[in-house]
Amino acid sequence: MNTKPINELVDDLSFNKSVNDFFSTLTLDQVESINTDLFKSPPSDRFKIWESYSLPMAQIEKKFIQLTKSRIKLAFQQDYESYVDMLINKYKVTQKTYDNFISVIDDILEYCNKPFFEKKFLMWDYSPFSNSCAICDLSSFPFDSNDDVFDFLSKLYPILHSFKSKINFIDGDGSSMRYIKETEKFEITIDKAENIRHRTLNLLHELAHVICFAQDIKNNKDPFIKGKYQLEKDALTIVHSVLRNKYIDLYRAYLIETLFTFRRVLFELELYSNPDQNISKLFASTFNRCFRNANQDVNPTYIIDQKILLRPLSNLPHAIAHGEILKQIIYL
Amino acid sequence: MADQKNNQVPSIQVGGRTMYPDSQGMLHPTPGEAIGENQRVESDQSRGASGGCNQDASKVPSTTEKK
Repeated sequence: MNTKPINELVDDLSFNKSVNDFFSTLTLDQVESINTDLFKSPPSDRFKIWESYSLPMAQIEKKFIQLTKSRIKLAFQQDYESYVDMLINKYKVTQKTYDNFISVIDDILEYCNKPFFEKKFLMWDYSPFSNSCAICDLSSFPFDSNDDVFDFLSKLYPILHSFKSKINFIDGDGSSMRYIKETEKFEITIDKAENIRHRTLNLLHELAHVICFAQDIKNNKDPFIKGKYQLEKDALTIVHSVLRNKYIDLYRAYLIETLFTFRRVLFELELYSNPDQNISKLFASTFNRCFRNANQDVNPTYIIDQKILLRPLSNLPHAIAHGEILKQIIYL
Repeated sequence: MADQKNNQVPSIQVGGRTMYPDSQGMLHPTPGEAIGENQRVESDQSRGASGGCNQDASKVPSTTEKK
């Protein structure tokens, strides 16, 4: 963790100024259009396309480091020892749980790489511009529609049936679930940009939250008291359980997709512990750590990951929850 | 730059767009999301801004595995 005093960080670290400086150099419109153009093109063309943007990487990286430091400074200003310390507090993760996650993560990464070792996904692309997807590579898939997912889950968790009329489904940007206390209704948003496989898997995740909330409401408990980490752990426990028990091939693909979550979070943890380093190298090394057959040298694509830019460590609760659940399986 | 009026959520210019920061330095697209962030749980299965894995739904193999 970064415990440098604020005065060791650069002088002009206003968060607003750092945000403005960074996004003046690389706008969100650019980030979105690069993502679209780059990943819609064949993998063999992507390096050339990236080069054609002629992005001022040195300048972007310098401003990205400034932005990172300004966020660290926000944590210091609120009397936290580090940025990570602030977020584990926000998500209600105990220090013991966090420390345990750090100590077991490499065993968990090894376990999630098993499908690769078992040669389940032979055509995987490990390059910096990879966007391989194990979910879409599966030759078959169990869900065709939202109804399929709802029927599947409600057979296993009948409580879901009684809440069906209280759920409002929305097509939107990103996938999320919101419980509106005042109306006692659930609002599930599913990312309209995703294909049907990812949409149904995201719906499975959000409906798992509804099941957990419904159980808490039935037991007169306030789900929000738990904090985000526990909310994610409750929902992900259901997701891991139903996929592992019912659809093992999909579960293997899901574990590989989870490696991307671990990769983003491990990158962010390293970054916010030590922002003064070659960030493209760090992004490559965290990829190599998560995908054991990979051998990237540098990877500049962190600058087009909106979660890293806008809401760093927002997947920390998920990563720790996945880790806690997988730990139970691995160390049985 | 920062803009804070009485009883309004502070906003910030992010490369030509207005976004709303929270106390952790995260940036949200609407004031509602910045305020209600704790009332929302989101999926982690995302590749960032790219709209997931970008594989065309029409090219994804059809569903056959039913149990």
